[in-house]
Amino acid sequence: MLTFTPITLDANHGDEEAVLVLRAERLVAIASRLGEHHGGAAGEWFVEMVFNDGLRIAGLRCATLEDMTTLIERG
Amino acid sequence: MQANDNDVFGALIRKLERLGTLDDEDRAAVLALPVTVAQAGNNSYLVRERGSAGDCYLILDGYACRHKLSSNGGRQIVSFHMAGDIVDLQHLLFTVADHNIQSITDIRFARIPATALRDLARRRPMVAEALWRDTLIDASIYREWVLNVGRRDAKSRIAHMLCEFAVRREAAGLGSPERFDLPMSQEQIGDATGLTSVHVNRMLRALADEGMIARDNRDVQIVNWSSLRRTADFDPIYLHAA
Repeated sequence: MLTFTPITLDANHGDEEAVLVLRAERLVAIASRLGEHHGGAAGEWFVEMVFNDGLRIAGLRCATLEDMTTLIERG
Repeated sequence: MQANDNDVFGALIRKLERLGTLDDEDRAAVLALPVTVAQAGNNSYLVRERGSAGDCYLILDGYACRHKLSSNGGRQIVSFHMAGDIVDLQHLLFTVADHNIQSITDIRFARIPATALRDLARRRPMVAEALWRDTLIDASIYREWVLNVGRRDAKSRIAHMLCEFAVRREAAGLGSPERFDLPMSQEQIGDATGLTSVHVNRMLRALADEGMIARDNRDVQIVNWSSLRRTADFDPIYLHAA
């Protein structure tokens, strides 16, 4: 089961709201919430980084964290 | 449209004369090429990987890119092309395309049969040298792009792409390097620089926040050229004045 721990990115691009995506206390991915300057994608969750090479979701966007759970569970 | 189209031969001769010295007989031989002008909409394929390659294309208006696709659908753009570029000279000697050429705007182009261009190159050594030089410059640009994608950070990659586009655009006589409309989308810039469109948006914003560029959607103004060039690690020597 995935859990999402809120964090703040020390970023200078404005997308500071983020979550650590964890499974069984292991860090799976980091996702940030896109700000207004991303136009139509604003508010979506963006997968910044993935730590398992087999999980090819880095760079993808999801409307909600539930959608991200589905994406990660599907692999 | 057939070979009496002045702007086609004007563009081709201007291109070749940027690459070498032509005499009157060279120019006359170029003017005798059997050229056909055509146009296509945005996202049209001029060449498809694995397709037969019997023609060479000179862009007259608009922009195109060369790209390759991975088996999982990922696209790597390996070059952008503009008016005055002959986009697939390698098809003078290869009969099967090993990459795709696709328009990124509406495009008008001249189609030149590879056999006719090959025959011209055999008869006119200075034309052959100019075409050879063009392919060498292409290879030089590829080397720079490998360095850009492989070893520069995200902001430098975007800055470098902007510098190269501005310099090449000016060399092609398409206008000032200080201000232009970017023909490519953020997704296409991402595919050219190995970044997501999210990162491209962030880096364009960072370049603007740091006073190097000003932009309004695709309208880009280079505000501080020396700073952009420094950030990009841009040295135009690899373009060989092309």
